[in-house]
Amino acid sequence: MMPPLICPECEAENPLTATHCQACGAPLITSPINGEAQNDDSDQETFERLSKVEDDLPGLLHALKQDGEIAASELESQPDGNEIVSEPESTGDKDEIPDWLQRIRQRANEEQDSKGEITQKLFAAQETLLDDQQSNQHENYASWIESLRKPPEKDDETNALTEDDEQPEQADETAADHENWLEKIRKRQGKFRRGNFEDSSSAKDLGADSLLQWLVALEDGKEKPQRVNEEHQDFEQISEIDADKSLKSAEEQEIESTREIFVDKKQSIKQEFPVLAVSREEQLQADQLSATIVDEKTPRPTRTPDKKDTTWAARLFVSVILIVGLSLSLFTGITLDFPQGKLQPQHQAVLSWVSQLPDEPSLLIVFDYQAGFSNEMSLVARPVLEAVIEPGSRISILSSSVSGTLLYQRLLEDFGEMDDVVLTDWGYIPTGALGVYQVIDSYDGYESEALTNQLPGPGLENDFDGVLILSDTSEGAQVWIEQFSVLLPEENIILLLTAQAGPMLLPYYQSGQVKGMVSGLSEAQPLVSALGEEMDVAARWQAFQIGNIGMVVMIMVGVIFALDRTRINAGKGGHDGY
Amino acid sequence: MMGIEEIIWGVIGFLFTIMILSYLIGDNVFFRFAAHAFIGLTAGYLAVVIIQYILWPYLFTPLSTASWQTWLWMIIPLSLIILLILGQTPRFAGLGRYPLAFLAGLTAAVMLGGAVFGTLVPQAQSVISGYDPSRFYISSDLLWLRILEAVVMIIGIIGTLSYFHFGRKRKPVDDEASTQRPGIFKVLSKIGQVFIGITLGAVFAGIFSSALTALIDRILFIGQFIAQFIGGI
Repeated sequence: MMPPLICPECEAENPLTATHCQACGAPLITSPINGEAQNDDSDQETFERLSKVEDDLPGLLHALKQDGEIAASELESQPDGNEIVSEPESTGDKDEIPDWLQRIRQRANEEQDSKGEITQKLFAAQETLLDDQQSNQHENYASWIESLRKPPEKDDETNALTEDDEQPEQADETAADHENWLEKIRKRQGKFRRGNFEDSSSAKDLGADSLLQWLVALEDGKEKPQRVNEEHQDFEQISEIDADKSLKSAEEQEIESTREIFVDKKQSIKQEFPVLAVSREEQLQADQLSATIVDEKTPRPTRTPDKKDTTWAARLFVSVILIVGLSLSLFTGITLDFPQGKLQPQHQAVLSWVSQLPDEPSLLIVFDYQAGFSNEMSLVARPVLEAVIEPGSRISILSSSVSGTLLYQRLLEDFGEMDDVVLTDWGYIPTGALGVYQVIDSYDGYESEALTNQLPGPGLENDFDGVLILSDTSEGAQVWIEQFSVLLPEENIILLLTAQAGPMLLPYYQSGQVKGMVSGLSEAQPLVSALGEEMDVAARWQAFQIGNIGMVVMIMVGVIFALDRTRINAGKGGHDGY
Repeated sequence: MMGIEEIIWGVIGFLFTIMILSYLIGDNVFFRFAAHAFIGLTAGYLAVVIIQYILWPYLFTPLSTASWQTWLWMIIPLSLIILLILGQTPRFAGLGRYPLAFLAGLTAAVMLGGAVFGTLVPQAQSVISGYDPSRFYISSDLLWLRILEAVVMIIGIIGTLSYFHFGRKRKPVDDEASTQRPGIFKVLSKIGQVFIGITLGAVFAGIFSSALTALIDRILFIGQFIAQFIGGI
């Protein structure tokens, strides 16, 4: 049977569930004292253990008794009596916890309001006992505590721990009759700090939240129930005051004992770390990731070549040889009898187109090359332009390169007959294919007439006798060819190209999309001779041939050295050096 | 007798030519100075050209003198311009996608049409016409040469396309065979490698020819400048 609640007014017994006295109607549950609300959080941990026990005091005392036994057993395993131990929860084995206590804890966890009820009931009991100060008001507890003082008749603690909480009376009797577990703890501990807790207030300061301590103090009448305001630092101090403290004056051989248990919180937390189940592969990946992170943060020295680069000397030597050879060919007047280039079908097609041009032709000239190729382009385009531009010709200029407007002025500045030429500069056309499409589409009259009249644009006429595209890249000329092939396939397109653009555009001549083409100095030289233009290309052609021979020699020497290095590396077992 | 203007520009051209040629001995401060100078001049000149040939005639002039019909037509490009400018700000960066998407889509359409109908179809027709018997007998002395040309052309096309075939065997006998191309494509791709090598060799020869021509021009310029400078002095 659970002990009833005693009314503080009329001392009548009331059931535990009662909130007011059934006899006088006085409230059995007192409101928290001042400041308790503020300390509620800090006291939460203090009363956490209490919330896990049964809502009757004997059951609670059983739990405390069990904790005391566990602590005593640990102390017994430590002969030095080290006062720093871990928390009972961390030291006790789960299997050693009685079933009834497990059920209590499980019930406390499952029922959210259980802790509140327990707390309320404890406070009600505290207030009741405090106000009365009469021994007959708590004879149930006194008798039980008195039974604790008796020497144990039986040392069967296990039986008492395994008592079912549904039979509290039997459990109390068993505990009173067969053990004095608290006495045993005190003796085994062997240390009694007399001075520490002579003043009960010091015990409170140390966090004496033990219900047992509170009960003993109540028994002496020296202690008033007061909750402890804990301040948790690195260590948590738990004090347990021996129950015999209240009887110190009566029994001199009994010395009050206080055992302080310092719990290393960090150690406790460390012990509660979960054990990670990491496979070997995961561990390797983690190690690799860690090594990568460390490696990324490692400062690295700047790259220093193993050996000094000496190729610059070879490059300089070869370059000097090439420049000296070209200079001798250009400035000494030495004439070497190199074979002249032959006219290819694409060149003959250009000559045929030039010969078929009408008087005062209308031409569109597209400048699509950079300034660096202006000299080569001049060698290629100049003989053709001199052949087709006549007084009265109508020439339209378009530039798809930024410097095109300057380049055409430089190219045509030496033309003596330009005064009678109708020259129209349509400026720079950006955006590559899109600009080309817009230009061709506009002068084809494909756009609506109203739009053409409103929008400014090239306004090119669509009766050109030929379109000359001067380009230094195959991609630039290809855009013009493609758009002309789609929009104006019948237009005569003549390509005047640099040597690097020629090879990739030759298929357009073979497919008939291009009327004729000339690329590079090697093709311009025979064309100049065929057109009968007066251009000094002989010296350049000779230097060009010398440069080609020098290039062939350098390639052969390079191949020989590369093969020799490959053989050496293969003999050493290394890679081939490439 | 050289004028002062010719001397100044001649000296500048001579110095920049030497600075560029100094790259023969490796990267150095003179080469970098000349390269940066040319890049800066190109950027500045590009800005002037765009203003003169693009913005002024195609934007400012129509806005100032055009009729209301032209203004209506100008709403579309103006909107795209405003969106493109707003796209440069972090807050309205998303708005810049619309004019860029318009330009990208339009350019892709134009280039795709040009590539298909300006290159792919005409080149395919050219290869097919190579087997036209009427073309074989244009001149009887080149009959076998034309036939050989047509055969080599079709082999080169098939070999080159096979080289870029990255399929695998349909029914591999083992794991190693599952990662390999069919045997016929292996043979054809080897032939394609030969044609690709010849093409790249021709491109390299063209690039070298252009570079050699430019070098000859620079040597001529330096020689003529020195001769004129010494003669002028």
